[in-house]
Amino acid sequence: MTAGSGGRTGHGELAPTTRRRRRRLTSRAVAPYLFILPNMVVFGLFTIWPALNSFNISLYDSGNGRRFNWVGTDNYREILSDPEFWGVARHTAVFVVGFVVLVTVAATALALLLNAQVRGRGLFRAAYFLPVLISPVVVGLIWNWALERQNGLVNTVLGAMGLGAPGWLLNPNLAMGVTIFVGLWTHLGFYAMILLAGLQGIDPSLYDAARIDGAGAWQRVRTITLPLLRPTTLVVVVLATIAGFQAFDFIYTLTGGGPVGATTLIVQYIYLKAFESPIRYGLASAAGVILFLTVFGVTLLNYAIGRRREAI
Amino acid sequence: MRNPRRVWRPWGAVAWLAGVLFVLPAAWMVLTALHSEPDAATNPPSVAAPLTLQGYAEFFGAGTGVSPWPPLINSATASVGSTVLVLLLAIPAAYALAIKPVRKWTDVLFFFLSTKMLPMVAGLLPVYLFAQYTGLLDNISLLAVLYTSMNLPIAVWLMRSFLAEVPKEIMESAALDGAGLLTTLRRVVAPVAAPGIAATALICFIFSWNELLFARVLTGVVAGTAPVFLTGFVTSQGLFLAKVCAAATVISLPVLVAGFAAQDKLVQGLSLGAVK
Repeated sequence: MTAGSGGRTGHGELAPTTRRRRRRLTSRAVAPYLFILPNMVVFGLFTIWPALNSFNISLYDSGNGRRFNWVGTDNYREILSDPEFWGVARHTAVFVVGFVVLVTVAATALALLLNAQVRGRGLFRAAYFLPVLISPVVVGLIWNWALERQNGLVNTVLGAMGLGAPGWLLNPNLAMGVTIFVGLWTHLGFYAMILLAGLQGIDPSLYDAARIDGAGAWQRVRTITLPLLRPTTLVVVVLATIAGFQAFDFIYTLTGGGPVGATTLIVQYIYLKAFESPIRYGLASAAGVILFLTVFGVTLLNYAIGRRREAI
Repeated sequence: MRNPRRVWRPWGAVAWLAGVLFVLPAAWMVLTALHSEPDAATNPPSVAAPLTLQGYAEFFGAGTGVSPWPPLINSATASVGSTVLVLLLAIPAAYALAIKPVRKWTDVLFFFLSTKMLPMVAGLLPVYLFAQYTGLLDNISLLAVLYTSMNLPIAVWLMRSFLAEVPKEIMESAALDGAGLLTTLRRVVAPVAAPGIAATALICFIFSWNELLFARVLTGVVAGTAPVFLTGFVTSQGLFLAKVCAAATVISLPVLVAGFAAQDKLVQGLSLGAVK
């Protein structure tokens, strides 16, 4: 950490050293920034610029994408008084809360199991990791087939047990539940891996000490594992929140946003406004800006709560 | 960790049962792809039906009228191209952040990560308008560059943690022995960090291969990628379950291979990146 500043301050006293050596030191101090620069350029052009530009577009109205008329904050006003947007916002909130809570709890449980060395651990881990790798488009299809009312795998099993045949993808509430579940299915393995890594960083001697003091298994989990795992849990909550707000592709092939818009989340809403008739570029961009501010705000909130808990 | 198995055995059984149920839908897809169309359409599903490669043959062959090869090649181009670009850009940056002291490197890192919060869909519209204006719509190179930009933050983050494992003392002694920057990189850093770099590359490959949103908007007949092709295939061929399952299996395969190859290193990288 200090070599860069050392080159600037410490060597002034070594005036007789050759100029060549000094130049070498400066080039060494500059080189790291040169290494980061190309990243920043690509990143600036293809991530930052579009983001800024979408803020700009949100202040215009354009039907055909050729003529842009300045409308100031009209798009924001329109969107915030649009019942369709609030419906989408409510669905997104339900999805994000349900997804983040369930995936964090389930991933913690799974990580604890993996850490306790279940028999055939490698295969076991691979089983839970499999859905992480499957293309989200395929994930949506698999569950769309499995939950099909007449011939689907799930209802076939339920029917054999005499439990009826619920219309998983036809009932709005069930469809939202299914969407949260499939989100859980595809992300669980990933977050469990992160938590497992956190678990393995906990000093085993703490457990031995607790055992000597007569603490049971559950008590050890509650008083040692969970508090020490909190920083990792925070990372998982933050990542899951960001992923939840951006969920789109598996829902696209699972429910298509239906039935009657019950699983249309914010990303699909923006997509539809921007690319499907009637095209509303300004409105879509305004929704994008609102989404960004929301994700940013919620992430900061996550950190604030996580940090405060740590302090206590 | 004395005798953890004794404590956990009943839970282990539950976990295994859950694990089997967990992969069942995916296994069912693979099985259905190996059935004939009439067997695939029965209710209840015919588990023990004779296996056939007919679904695959029809997917790759004349049965559907559309060849899956162009989209598969497009996906490969975009994924491999963007992965190479990511490595070229991210390795030096990660090296600078991990080994060379950059002042306020945590700020740089946080900057990279905070961009994850930018909803990709919000940036899509300006990119689309730009592509329309410059005639880059339906061009696979644009997609490759965009995937590069999307993958850079996670790649820099992961690789920094891998490169940070290179012992500083070795680097210093290499410098004392008069090794230049490039020599140090090639002889000292690369061997230690190679597996982590390979894992990062595979992660970038997986993401690019699976991406739907940008590909759907920015490509068409010429540059359409595999996921875009699959959504169209489902619409047109959805009634032929075996064929569609074969398509979905083929499209998942490259990523499954890459993913299981990277699994261990991925976990390690995430743990270093996330926990430290």
